[in-house]
Amino acid sequence: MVEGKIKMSKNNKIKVKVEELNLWYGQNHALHGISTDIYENKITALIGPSGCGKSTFLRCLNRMNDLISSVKIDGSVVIDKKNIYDKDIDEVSVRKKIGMVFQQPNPFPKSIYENVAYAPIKHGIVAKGKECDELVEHSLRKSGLWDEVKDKLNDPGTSLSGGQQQRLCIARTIAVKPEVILMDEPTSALDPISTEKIEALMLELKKDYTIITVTHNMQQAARVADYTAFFHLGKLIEYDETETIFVNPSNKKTEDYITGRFG
Amino acid sequence: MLKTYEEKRNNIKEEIEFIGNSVIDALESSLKMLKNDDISTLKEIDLSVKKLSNKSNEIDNLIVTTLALYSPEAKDLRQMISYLKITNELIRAASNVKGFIKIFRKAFCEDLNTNTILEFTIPLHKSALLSLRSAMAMIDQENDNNIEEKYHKVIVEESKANDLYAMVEKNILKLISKNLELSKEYFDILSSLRRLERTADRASSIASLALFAHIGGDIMQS
Amino acid sequence: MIKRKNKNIQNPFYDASLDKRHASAKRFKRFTLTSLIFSVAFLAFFLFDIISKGTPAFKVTYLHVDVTYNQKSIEDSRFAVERKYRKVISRSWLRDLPKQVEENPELMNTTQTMWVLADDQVDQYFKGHHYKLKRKDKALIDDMKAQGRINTEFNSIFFLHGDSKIPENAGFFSAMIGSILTLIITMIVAFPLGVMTAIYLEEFSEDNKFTRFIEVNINNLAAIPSILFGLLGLAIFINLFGMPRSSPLVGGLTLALMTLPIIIVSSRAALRAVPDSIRQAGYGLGLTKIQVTRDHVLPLAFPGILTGSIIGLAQAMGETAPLIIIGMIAFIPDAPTSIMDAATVMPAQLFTWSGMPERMYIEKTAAGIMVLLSILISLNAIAIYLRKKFEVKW
Repeated sequence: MVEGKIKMSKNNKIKVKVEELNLWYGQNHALHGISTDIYENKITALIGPSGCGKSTFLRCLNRMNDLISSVKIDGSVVIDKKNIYDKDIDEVSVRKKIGMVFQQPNPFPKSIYENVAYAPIKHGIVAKGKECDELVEHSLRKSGLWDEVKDKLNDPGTSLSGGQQQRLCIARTIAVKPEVILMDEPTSALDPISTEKIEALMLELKKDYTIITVTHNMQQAARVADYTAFFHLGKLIEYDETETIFVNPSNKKTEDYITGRFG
Repeated sequence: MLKTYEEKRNNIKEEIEFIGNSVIDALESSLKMLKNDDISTLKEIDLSVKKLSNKSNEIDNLIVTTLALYSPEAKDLRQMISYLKITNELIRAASNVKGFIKIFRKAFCEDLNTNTILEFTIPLHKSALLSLRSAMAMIDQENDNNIEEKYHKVIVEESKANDLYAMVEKNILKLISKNLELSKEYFDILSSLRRLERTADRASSIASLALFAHIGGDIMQS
Repeated sequence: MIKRKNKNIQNPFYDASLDKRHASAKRFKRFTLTSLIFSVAFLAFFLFDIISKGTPAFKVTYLHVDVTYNQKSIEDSRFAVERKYRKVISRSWLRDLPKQVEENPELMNTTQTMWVLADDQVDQYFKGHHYKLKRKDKALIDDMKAQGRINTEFNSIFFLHGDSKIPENAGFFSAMIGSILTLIITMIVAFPLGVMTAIYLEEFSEDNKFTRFIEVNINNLAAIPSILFGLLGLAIFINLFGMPRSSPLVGGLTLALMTLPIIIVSSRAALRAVPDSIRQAGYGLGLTKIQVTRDHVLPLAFPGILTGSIIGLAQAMGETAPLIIIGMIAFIPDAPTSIMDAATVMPAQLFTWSGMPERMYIEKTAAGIMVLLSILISLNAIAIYLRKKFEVKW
């Protein structure tokens, strides 16, 4: 049972409402009846030991699990009053509204400019030329990369350092103007300095986007997240304000995880 | 450093300074009144230990949350821990100052040898004030320059206060032996002055905690 | 003895089994080196043999004699030269006499002293190989040698003429053209089909029993003896569709069937080598499958696909068995001008030559092998160069 949901109504708008989400990998029941509300313009962190289903849950929010053929999904994910799993919704359009940043930085093997510009042009957000240039600059500025790459926009994306590549991937994601950004352990492959930069960036970005991030690193969740959800064996154990989870969790399993007794 | 951590830390520091400044203001006002020989106005000094105590609890909870969320290390950790202990010291200092004001005002009357009393009280009071002020300045300081100097100043004032109190004790005991019927009043005066001396002790504790925060080593509370 | 013991006691890293292990490693190294040397030796022997047999073919013998151009000699070219020379001059050159006069009318009614192509036996004799000359012809040649009227020149006939029953007139040209036409057809058919199939199987198809069944069969097709493809080509293209026998069209289609599995397998490997993170990034941005595959996966896989195709092409170039079945070992004197004409390919030509009795064909066969080998090596070199050039660094 999810505890502490009642405390949180406050003035926060709900951006994503998940109801009774179940997922099977073939015969393996990976997610058990997850129900939760994600608030707008807040950072929500999903924590839990390996294999608890947090990444799987994250990938349900933009229908990336549909790419795996053995997956079966039950339940609803409602964003802006529409269930993204309805029959009349095209999964491609879902991913335009809900962007994703992955654990390993994965820029396309194209130039930095093209990395950012490709998807918006394909979606018809901007036309090639000046409009596109402005969008590229705006996205790179927002992700804190502009000053470092403004003179080498035609260099390959892969020529950047790990932390820069991840910021490029973030710029690429925000260039398609999403409303929600999903981050799957965005800093676990980076060094501490780059990690700090990305965390500061997340705090900036939450002003304009709703951010949901999976992290193995509890301290990262403590540092940046407004709300934290603790997953265990495919169930949502506790979901509350980060302060409560880390100072005074209601559920013993949560406390055991936070204090390092398992996972 | 994450901006959110910095904001929280600055918030804690400001709250602590608020408590410190409340105590210092009370000390300054009372010193002025003593200098003007205007003892009755002491009752106008508004120092609510209860309010300050509540604030100190708030600060302590904030520190707990900050430690939980940000897991500070090294200097940041020392700073947080020192803040946690300094709030306690400040509350005790506040209650000492309040005690001094209450008891001194009640006990002071024209029958006593007011000149001698004031002659010793004022420097003792000054030492207590200076030591506390310097200790609070150590908390405010951003960098490590001259921190040891400031620490020294506090220690000097504290030892001055100790010496002054020893002298006052001797002299008041002498006065008591001369006027036994006023012994209760004199003892009350002495006990109020003892509170001033304790305030200086608190200040030196705060100073050593602040030194610990800046430079390191082990926590040593007096 | 004692000294060693002390050394060992002092040495904390001493391990008693090490000597034995190092010795066994050395033995293994020597064994593999010996195998390598053997293989290289065989290769060197083969190359040496071919090159030594084939190089003489690039030069051919010419005789300096008088040639008379008049009406009589045009009608019967035997009369163009003195009697004694008739046996030692190439019949094919004499055959061409009327055409020579047609091209240069001023030669008419003149007698020219010119270099004339020698008969194949003369050529073999002059090169020091086994020959079949009558005694007086031999004497004549010796005479001419002494007079300096016999010489070898670069054998442009080899590269410009098609096959011929007259050995000195036989060339590789028609086989080369036939090979080129056949392989163009092969590539036009096999490359698009193969790459598209690979893209479908790798990116679009679902993972179920049916696709796995197809996969297994495609892999098996790559291992089928090539002669069976020839039978397939015979049955379908020639008998069912009635295409012209022995044409580059049929040959190309047959070879395309053979090369298709290879291209499919190597293209799939190239597509699989593209890291999945690229596709995930593409999908995460809301791109469709076509956009992800065409604009991001395919450019990355392209060097691998190209390499695989060129290697498949090189393999097809050397295939003989299926083409024999569809009739490409016919005797083709003229180079094919269209894909419907009868043609032969280089390996088939070599097969034909190796069965001819005249000795000159031996060196022509070896020379043909050298030409074929150099084309194959350069194709492989192009494959390596292209792969290096287009390789995208991660």
